[in-house]
Amino acid sequence: MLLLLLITTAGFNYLVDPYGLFGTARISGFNEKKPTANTRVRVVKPYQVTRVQPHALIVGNSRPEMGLDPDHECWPVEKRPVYSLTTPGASVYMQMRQTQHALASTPAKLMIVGVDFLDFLVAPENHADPYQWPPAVREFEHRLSVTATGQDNDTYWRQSIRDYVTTVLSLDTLEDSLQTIAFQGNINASNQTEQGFNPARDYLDIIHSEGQAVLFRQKNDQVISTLLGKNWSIYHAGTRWSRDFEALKQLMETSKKHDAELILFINPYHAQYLESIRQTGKWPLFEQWKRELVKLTDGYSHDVIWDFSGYNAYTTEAEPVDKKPADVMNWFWEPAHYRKELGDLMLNRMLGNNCPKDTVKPEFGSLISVANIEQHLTLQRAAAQTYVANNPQVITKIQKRVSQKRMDVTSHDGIQ
Amino acid sequence: MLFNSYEFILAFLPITLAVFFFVISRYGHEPAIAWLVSASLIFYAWWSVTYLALIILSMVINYGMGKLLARHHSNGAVRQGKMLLTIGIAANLGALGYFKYANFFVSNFNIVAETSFQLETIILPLAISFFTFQQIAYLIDAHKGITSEFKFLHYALFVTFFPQLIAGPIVHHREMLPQFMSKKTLRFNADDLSVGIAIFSIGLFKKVVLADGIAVYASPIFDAAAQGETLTFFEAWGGALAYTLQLYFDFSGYSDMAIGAARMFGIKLPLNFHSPYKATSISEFWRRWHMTLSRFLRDYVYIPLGGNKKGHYRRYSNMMITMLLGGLWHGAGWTFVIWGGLHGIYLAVNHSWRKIQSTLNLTAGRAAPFYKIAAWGLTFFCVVIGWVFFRASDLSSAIAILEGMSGQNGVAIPNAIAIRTGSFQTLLNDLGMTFYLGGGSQFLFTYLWIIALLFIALFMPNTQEIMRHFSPAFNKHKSGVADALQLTKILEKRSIWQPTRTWGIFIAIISACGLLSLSSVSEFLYFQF
Repeated sequence: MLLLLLITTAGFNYLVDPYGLFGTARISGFNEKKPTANTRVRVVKPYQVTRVQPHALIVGNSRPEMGLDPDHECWPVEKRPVYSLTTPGASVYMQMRQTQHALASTPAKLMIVGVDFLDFLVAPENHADPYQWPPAVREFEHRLSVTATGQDNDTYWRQSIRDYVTTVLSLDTLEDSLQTIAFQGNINASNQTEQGFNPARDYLDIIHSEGQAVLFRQKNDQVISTLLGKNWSIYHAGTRWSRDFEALKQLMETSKKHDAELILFINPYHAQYLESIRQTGKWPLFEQWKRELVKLTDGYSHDVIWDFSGYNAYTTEAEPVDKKPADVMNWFWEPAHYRKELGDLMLNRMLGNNCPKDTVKPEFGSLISVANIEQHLTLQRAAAQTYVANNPQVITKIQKRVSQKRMDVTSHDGIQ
Repeated sequence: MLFNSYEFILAFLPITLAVFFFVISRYGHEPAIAWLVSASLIFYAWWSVTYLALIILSMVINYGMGKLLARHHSNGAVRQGKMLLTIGIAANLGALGYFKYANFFVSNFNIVAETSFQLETIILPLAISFFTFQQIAYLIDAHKGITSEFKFLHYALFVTFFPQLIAGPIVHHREMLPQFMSKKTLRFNADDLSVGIAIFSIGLFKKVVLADGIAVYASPIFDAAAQGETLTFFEAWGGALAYTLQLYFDFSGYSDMAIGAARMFGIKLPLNFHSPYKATSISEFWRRWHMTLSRFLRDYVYIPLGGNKKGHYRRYSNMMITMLLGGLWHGAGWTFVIWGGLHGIYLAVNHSWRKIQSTLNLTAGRAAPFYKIAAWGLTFFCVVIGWVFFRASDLSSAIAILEGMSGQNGVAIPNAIAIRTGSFQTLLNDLGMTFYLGGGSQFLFTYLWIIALLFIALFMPNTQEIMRHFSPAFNKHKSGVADALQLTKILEKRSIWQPTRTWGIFIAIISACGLLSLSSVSEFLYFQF
């Protein structure tokens, strides 16, 4: 009886495959969408990518995960299928390690890699031993086929069997399987496609009930507290080194070793995000970060970076004030996460060639390198000034949030 | 090896049982006991081989002392006996004190004397708090001549028997050793096996489904408090109540698993929990919570101190000392001392109130429904406050949680929920409630889990009530109508376990749920004590 229950549960979980771990057929109305898969991407994606065997990869954190579509029309036929090896909250190190794993176990020869300002900030009081490379093995690395130094990972098989078995033989999975079936009818159910893309339509539910202004306020607050939270810098004191820059360098080395073409880009931020960077006094750090990025890529075959983090018609899109269902922004979910619609334009720009270009405004995305970085930064500074001059209301709003957060931070320090 | 691990359930337990049944039918009683002792030592060594020597040493020394004490007693050598007993207790407490309290003592000494002595961090040997107590009781009783002559092997099993080794129930030699010696208890018996499996399964379900299920709503709140964040009313209460329920289902689930595992071998362990949250007074709560610890403290601390025989003042101070020591037993920290002290005060208030009641002739009203509900509410509230200290990592985070619970940081609910209350939102706003962004589902699930588990703790029959036709434990709990909520009456008849198909299916389902939840392994809370 007990055995029967266990086998039935395992079989059912395998059939529904709520996290997309097994690649069981996705049947419309039964298990096509994976509403609970977003909680398990860290476990699932390393296995999924080896199953999909993609010819191109998207790498980064949650921004490209929700923004860049692996099915976009501009992907060259010979580079398909494309897989989005993106993980929310993944550090640069994690992205690098997952890339090593994917390049070693799939035929992928093209990578689009998104970098993010906040991922590169280091605090002076950071880790016990920041200079150790590679860092001590973390839990997630057991499910990668290669080690940080490129050797075969001995724990990989044991870990994968463990992950497969504990996923089917689990009450949590059973609960998620049932939820998966129940939520198929919901057009805004959260989802993870077989190619690792997160359409992020669950944002629409929040927008419809609470309004997009709420999402903006929440994200702005988060960004501002993070930026004010510590005495951030780009490198550790007295060095030109940080684990994140080292990881990015290793990522580029890995792609060179595997002869994979690499396209690097800086994610677009909504102008309110940029304004939070400016008002918290982190703009010089933001510029320094870009300078260091172009220095790092200098010397590699592909030595340019796409910078989408500027001011333009897309990133300055006004935030809706009213909470009417119709008031959904075209390009952004909230200041930090862009919609697939904007991601499509980015892919238009980056993949070039057989792609319609006239649909994208020319000021969206610039190629930066050591040659033009200073000129580029000057233009950005000017663009920021123009935005400030034209949007007094937004500026005051951010000002208020920043001074509020500053007070929170100092009073908190007072307690400690 | 944790009870809630694949290794234990799928390998250790079945193998130990199978070998045990084979040996006992083929080679007899003593070899079977020898097997159980070795299996138990393997079980202990799985965690820490280093401390295996410690437990064996402790066992050998205590056994030898017990023998000597018993001889002194029969020879009438009272003085030598007393001296030996003092040495024995001091040695046991000394070892416990060194491993458990040395760091605590040194750091507090440093604060008071403004010195800076450094001690290397001492790792607490697993189960030391439990086996120390069991052996002290044994020595005291040997001195009194209550113990009879035992073989070393039997004594070794009394100390190491794996179901109770790590975190109790704290067994007493008087209830265990006769069982080990009897050929009627220690044997293969299909009834014992199925009763044992049923109890074990219920315990596993309580631990891995219920306790671990609600734990994720308790820990973040206590962590936030430790980080110095301010907590609003619902957050703080959510954390405190979630922990209250987590601890109960964790520890009583563990105790059920211990009782169930022992029963598979035909051994009955003493009861450790009897629906403590149904209690309508603090003294009844302590008769139902960690019962074997309360019993030990009563018999070996409270009564030797004089108990209630030396007047009111001494009675209350004895109670206080007992509870403070009980608190300190849980860990070397001031939060545990406060927790113990708090319960000492609760008990003193409880006993004074009882006295006032009987003087004024008001005892008849104690069974009235209204009085019982009020008494339950007050008791439960006091217990929850106590758990805040018990769980908090330090005093300031305990205070932070209590501040939140008192409402002085305001009352706030998630915006997503406020919006769904429709026109009530303005009313809530007028009442001074504020709304915060995010955390909607966290809030909702915290309180759904609390309601569900509170329902189980208050309305459902407990494990031994379900199993009551099969004398699940060594002893029974007896209490009067006024002592606890009796909300189970309606469910009682249907809820008695029988070896029928329906019950078979039910147990299969809950054990499947238990087994399916093993993938996320978590330790039992009481292993740290």
